Amino acid sequence: MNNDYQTAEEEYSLILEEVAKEFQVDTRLLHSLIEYEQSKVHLLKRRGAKNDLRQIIERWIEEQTS
Amino acid sequence: MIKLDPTRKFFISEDLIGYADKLIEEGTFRRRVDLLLVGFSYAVKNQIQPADEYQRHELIYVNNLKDALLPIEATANWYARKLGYQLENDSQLLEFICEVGIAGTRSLQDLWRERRKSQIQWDVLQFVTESDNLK
Amino acid sequence: MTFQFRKLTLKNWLVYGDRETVIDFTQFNSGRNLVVFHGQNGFGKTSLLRALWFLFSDDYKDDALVEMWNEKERASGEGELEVALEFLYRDKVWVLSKGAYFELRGSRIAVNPFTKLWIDGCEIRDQIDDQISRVIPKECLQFVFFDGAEITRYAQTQYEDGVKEAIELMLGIPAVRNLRHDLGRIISELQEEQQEILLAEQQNNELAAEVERLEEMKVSYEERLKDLTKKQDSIQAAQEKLEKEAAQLEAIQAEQEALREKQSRRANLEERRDELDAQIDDLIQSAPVRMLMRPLEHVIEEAIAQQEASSRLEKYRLRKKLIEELLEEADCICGRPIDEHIDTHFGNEIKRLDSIIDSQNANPNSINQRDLISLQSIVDQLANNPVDGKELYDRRALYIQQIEEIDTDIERLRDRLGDNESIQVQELLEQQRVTAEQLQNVKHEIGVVEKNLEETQKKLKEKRREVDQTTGTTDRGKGIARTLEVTRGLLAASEQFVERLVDRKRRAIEDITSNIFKKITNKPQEYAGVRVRDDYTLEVYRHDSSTVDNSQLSAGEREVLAYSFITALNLSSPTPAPFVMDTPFGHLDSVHRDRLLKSLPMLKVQVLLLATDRDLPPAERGMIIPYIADEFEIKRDQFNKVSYIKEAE
Repeated sequence: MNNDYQTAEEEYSLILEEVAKEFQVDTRLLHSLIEYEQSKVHLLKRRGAKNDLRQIIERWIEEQTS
Repeated sequence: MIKLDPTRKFFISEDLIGYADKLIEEGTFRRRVDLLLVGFSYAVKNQIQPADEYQRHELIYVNNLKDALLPIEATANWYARKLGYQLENDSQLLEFICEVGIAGTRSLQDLWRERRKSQIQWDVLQFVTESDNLK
Repeated sequence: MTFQFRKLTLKNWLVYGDRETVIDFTQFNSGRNLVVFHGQNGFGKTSLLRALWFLFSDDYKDDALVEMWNEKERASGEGELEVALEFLYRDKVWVLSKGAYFELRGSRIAVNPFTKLWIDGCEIRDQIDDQISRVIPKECLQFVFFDGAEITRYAQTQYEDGVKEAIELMLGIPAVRNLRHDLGRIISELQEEQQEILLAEQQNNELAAEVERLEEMKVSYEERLKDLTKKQDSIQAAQEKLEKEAAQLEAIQAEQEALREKQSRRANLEERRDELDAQIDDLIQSAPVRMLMRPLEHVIEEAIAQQEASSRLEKYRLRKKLIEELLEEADCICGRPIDEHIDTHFGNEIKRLDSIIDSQNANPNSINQRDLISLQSIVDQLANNPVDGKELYDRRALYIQQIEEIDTDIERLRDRLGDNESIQVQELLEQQRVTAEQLQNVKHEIGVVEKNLEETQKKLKEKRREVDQTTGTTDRGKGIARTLEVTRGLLAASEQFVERLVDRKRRAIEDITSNIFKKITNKPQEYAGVRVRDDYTLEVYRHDSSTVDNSQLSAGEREVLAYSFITALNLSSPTPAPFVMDTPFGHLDSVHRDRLLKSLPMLKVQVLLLATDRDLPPAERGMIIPYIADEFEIKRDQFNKVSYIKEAE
């Protein structure tokens, strides 16, 4: 019984890396945005999500330029 | 040999009209006269005496019989002689044919009773076959 | 393994009393992932399952909490209830504790619920429920903590409301969809800000108007495209429906063909029967004459005899005339004189001849030559064409019988066809043709709109770049342009992410479900795998690619199918959760049960089995011993009416 089933975690990261590379976006940035969304996904109203995400992006840009 | 006047009409007895119509409706015979003639031939074959009591009901003209007319006339002349009838003229011959036909038909009606088309046709065909075989 | 249970504590939870029940789980190592709880029915297996549900859902009202509170404790009216779980999740130690304090106020119990969470030793005070939902969304609990008997609902051809959404949630798809949506909104916001900057300068009005115009065009194309896609979907659905109908129709058609064939055969037989009918009718009509064959032969014989007699008569007349002439002469022709004796003799002879002639003349029945010839020919003709009425009749009877048999067949076929007899193939083909044409038109239109949209987007992109440049002269403008650039990239990436995720997840589930199903099914020779449809419903297919109707699967097969699917689902989620199965094998036959048991160690997650002795008899337990990490027994103190858990001996 050694043909264990693969979990999907690696696959998730794999797609993340794939698309980040293809669209020339930062993997970590995309990952953190998805993480943010995952923390909000079960909420009926994701109030403030847009602003939070914009802030994450702007902060990242700031970090890059500084 | 006495011959029929083609402008006269065959007749059947009133009591047989209903039966004849029933058989025609079932498709056993095409015309009433066909039943009368089968009755005639049946009577001849079985030496049945002509009917003496009946109410006339006229059918088609004699000349409608076409090819069957001559054999019927000839047989009727012969059969009358056989039964000892002295036929004087055509109207007597016509009466003789129809009376024999009526008598034969009555016997057949009795024979066939509740029989339906297929059984009756089967019987008629048997009569024919018997006649053929008798030859 | 990034998610595993370490310790479960129960206090006054349902059947478990005030003696704290603590279950310590051995640290998972790759060889052993099974945790077995042995317990008889009614001892507290399901209470354990419910404890886990309680921890990860937030819909327990006060009344429900009172219900969960141990009955014996409840009687006292005061006390506390607690369920706590320590678990490892994404390399952090989580301690989740939920429960309530109960206090008697007058006649009613006041409930004071609590939820506490520590992550790596730090107590979390904000948005605790959100944090818990991240671990296992409550909609997904059904896929990880389940009762073996209830999972067959995932083997249905149609899900109840919310199941598809729960499945996608389990797979982490909605988060990425939401990101795509939010990034779009950020971009709109940034572009609006750009427009503001642009409009502040008079000379940029034209550019702003052009951008706005293109934006409107884009929106209108997008809407059109959405409408068309919807239309396309509905046409395709109609097409599928028609295809199904066509398949049904094929079967019907075959029957219709059989019906037509029978009907045509019937018509043919009917025609032949009618021909025979006509022949028989003709025969019946000629019957009177045919019946007179024998008398007619007599008549003809007599007529011929008469003709012979009449020629003899002529001879007699001639003879008489000769004798009379002779009597007038003196001598006989022989030269002898005619004496008295001869005279008397001649006289007698004349008398005899007279009497013969008289008797012949008296017959009025003579038939003339023409009639005799006619009669002769009629009789000859009849004699030469004998009719076998019996044969005709038998033949007709045969046809009638065959027609009756066909009528029975036709009746049977008609019954089977029912209303379908009226379904016209032509009609269906026409519908299919029309639908195909519609689809082609819509596809063409979609193509055109897509092209227009693409062009508009291209133009818009150029203009946006122009806007970026124009507004980029200020710091604010520059910042916006940069954020826009990054966000657009992120949007494109997240769009692609959603597409690939949905596609790969579905395929991954399909692969894993098939794999597990094939390992467990007792018909591996027949079943080749499982297809997961777009709505995540399942379809078992055979080696010849034909699909198995779910209703044809046995109860055990359905359970195995459902188990394979939810296992695949869990394994396909970003962070697979420990499995908790309550009486998982109750409905399985021994072959399925053994195969399922053997498949459990292959799962890379902790598997908690809540089993009765019937679920896991000693022999079966022996089979999985090498993979058992922990084994507990649920005991029941019947006197004190409390259950407790201890490590199995």
